[in-house]
Amino acid sequence: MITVNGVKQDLPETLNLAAFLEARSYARDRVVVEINRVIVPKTDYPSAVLRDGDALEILSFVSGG
Amino acid sequence: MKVVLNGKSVDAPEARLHALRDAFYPGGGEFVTILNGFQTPDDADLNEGDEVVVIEKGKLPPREDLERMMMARHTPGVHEKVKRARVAVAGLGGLGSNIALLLARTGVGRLHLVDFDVVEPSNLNRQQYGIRHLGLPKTDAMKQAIGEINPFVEVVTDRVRVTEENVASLFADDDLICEAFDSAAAKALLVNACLTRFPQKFLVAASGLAGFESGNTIRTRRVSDRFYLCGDGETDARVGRGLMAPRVAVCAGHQANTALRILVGEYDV
Repeated sequence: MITVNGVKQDLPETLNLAAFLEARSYARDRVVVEINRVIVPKTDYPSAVLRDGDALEILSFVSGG
Repeated sequence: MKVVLNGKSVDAPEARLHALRDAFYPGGGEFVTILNGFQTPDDADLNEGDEVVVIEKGKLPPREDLERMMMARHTPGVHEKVKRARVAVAGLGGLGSNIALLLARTGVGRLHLVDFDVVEPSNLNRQQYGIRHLGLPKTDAMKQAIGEINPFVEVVTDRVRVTEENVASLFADDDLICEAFDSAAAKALLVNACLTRFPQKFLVAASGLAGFESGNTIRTRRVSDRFYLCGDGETDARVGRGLMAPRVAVCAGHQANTALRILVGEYDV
């Protein structure tokens, strides 16, 4: 079980952050991600393995300015 | 009793506002009188240390008095704080051009303007440029516009596209960064880079401000200690939904107000 933006979700398999974002259809180049309140650099997405109990904050930017 | 009149400490002959005005500006004329940031035609009691600005209507003041007069409607104490600040505006489109002018009027000491683009006709529906700016780099056009509004702001410009490679050196000297890009990817790039490399700097970003939906859905959220996000979070610019001056300005106002609050030490939203 992990928490994504405050909502609990099952994590059925071991996933890294890059794979998780792809599976949930997040555009990787438009997001900012914190795991347990720590910002994850983009280059670490493939190596950041999600663990039971992790709290993710995913901020997805939209265009316009 | 000592009060501050047009920036200089003076002895007030008696503890009344109009007596002070008449003592230093005899000869009549039409005056605007501002006591501690509040413009009033009425007489009032004066207290030690009060800040009074007296402006003769229709007369261009000497340059050394101009800045004090321009800031006379500020809440007392604000000008001194914002004057010391170094703020970057990253992107000079609908958000950034509004933010830059709002912060220039607020008297922020140094504004660092970053944009790679030139002013085009399609910008004028929401961006703070005019016909005379068409074809100019936005950095040059905005520097000119700021100079006409508040020539006491130091304006530093960089006409570049922000990349992973240049972001660290580009914003090294700024205390607070306003993210004001149009593209979602550019927003994410800057926010990721700032949060990773500049944990000590304040960041005020925006997402979700297109169209003409209710202005009340645009809000400011404190995402983490030094990272604030303005907007509704979801209303994107897309085929069939444009960017309109009022709602863009609502969001830019949120960003500029958040920046001002941070600069005066108010960190809650």
